[in-house]
Amino acid sequence: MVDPAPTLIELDDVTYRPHGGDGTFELRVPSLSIRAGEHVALLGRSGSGKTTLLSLIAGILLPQRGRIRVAGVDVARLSDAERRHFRIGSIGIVFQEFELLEHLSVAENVLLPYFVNPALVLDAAVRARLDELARDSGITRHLAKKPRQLSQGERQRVALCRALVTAPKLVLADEPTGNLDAKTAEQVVDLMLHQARARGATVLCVTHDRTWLPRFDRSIELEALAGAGA
Amino acid sequence: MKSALLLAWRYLAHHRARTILLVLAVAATALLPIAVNALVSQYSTELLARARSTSLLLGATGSRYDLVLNALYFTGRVPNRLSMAEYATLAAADQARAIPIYAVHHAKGFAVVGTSVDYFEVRGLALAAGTPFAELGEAVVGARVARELGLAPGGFLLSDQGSLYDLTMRYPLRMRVVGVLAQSGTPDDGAVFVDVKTAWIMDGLGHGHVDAKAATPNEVLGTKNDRIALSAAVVEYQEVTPDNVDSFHFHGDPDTFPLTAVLVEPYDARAQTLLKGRYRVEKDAQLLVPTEVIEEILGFVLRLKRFFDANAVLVLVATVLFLALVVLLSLRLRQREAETLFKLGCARATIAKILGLELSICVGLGLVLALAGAALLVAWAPRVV
Repeated sequence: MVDPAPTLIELDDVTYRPHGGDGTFELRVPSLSIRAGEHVALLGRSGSGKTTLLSLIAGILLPQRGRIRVAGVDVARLSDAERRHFRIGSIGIVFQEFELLEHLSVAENVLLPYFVNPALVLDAAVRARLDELARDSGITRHLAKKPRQLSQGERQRVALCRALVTAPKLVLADEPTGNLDAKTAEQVVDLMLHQARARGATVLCVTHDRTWLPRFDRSIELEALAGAGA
Repeated sequence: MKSALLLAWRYLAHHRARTILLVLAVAATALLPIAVNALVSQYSTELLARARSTSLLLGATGSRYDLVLNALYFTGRVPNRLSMAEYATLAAADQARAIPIYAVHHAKGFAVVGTSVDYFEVRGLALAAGTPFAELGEAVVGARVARELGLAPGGFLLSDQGSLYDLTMRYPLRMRVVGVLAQSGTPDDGAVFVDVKTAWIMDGLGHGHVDAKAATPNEVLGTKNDRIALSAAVVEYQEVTPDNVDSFHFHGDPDTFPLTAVLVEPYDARAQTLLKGRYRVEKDAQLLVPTEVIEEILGFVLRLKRFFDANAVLVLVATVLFLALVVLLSLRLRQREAETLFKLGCARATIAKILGLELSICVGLGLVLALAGAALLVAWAPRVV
């Protein structure tokens, strides 16, 4: 009998209210557990807190209550610097709007985590990983170009490479296909899941498009998640 | 640091036009204060160096500033003249070395300084070519004069005419260049040196012409005893040559011939004190310490410079405020970029460092540009000395 994969993400009785908000929004997650290597789609209506949940898991936001453990680490208990180091070493993030820096080349954008964090060392192994990711994502010939010279789909591939170049345990994707046409979106989702699977990374992907759900191991409805604990 | 520098540089290079504008704004702001400071500093140094190399200066009573500026830097005019008798008295006192200066004429815009060959020794001037002047009509030119007029020993130089409307004016004197001074970085580079007698010929105090005895009846106005009065029809020589040098002569009492100043180098401190005391009671002449006069002039310049400095401070404050505004607007525009960097694990301090480096590079480049511009301005600015 095969042992089940260990839990990578574990949320317990988490409550988050934004500072300075009007008080109408509150995210409550009584319980959430995602195993290592799982590919999970996160669904929910607009404004339900999907992006907020990703930010809490990434340690960008801190909950007012509850506990968030990622890879066995209680994210909320880390100092700012420790949380930042943890994030950059363990988590890759893919944004809906790509968030590439226009003044950097494609290669520099992919390697950006190494430029902005002294804890990461840009060595030959990282460069080899860049070449491998670029080849697998079909952007090798674009490495010297600037992002504005690329199509939307190509830009999201670059963003995906940036999320994976640090070999993270977890990839958090916030509607990565939101700005893409159907065909390109399909390619990007397939690429993301394929690359993550090849590297053994867990994926938590926010999406509003249910057609992608069969590609994931399972899906979570945020409202159902909140309601389950209510 | 290297990565932050790379990111900052990439941003500036990408937004080239914006960067150039910012650099130019900084450069334009810094240029004037830097240039004014450099120029004032250079002028002060040069003016004081020349003044310090002259112990005392004797001149006719009148403006001290005009006297010092004319005798040391060959600029401006001295309204009153010192007589040769004053010079002779000073020289006879045997308390100081006295060098006559008569600087009223010009040649191609350069000051013609009537003096003695001792001037070169006192000023420590060396000849780059040729010999010192020895005869009437010979000239030694400064390095800049030689360079700008293309002169060398054997060449000729015409003195400038005075006013075209002056019927009594002298014709220009054609001077023969016998020597060129080595570059000294002093006002001597831009002067033409002749014997003081040559300068008096330019004044009309001396001249040369055909032998009166050989003059035609039309050229003779009258005779009395052994004296012959010649008319204006007699041709005066415009150049002193070996053939006509003996015909040159001076009219009037040599004791009354003019000088604009006398450089006075006392033999010792006692002689200096005695000379100062003596000329304190003199009515027609004044003995000056050039350093004191130049420091007085520089006092006015520095007072004026304070206004420039105050203006520069205000402009600097305005520029810093503008830069702050630019940075604030830029931060607002780049908030999303900063958030992305933060989400990717970049410390807020590193983000601030990248932005600070961008600003530092712009300000640094602007200052380098301002320094280069100021250096060019200083190099091209008209020389005071």
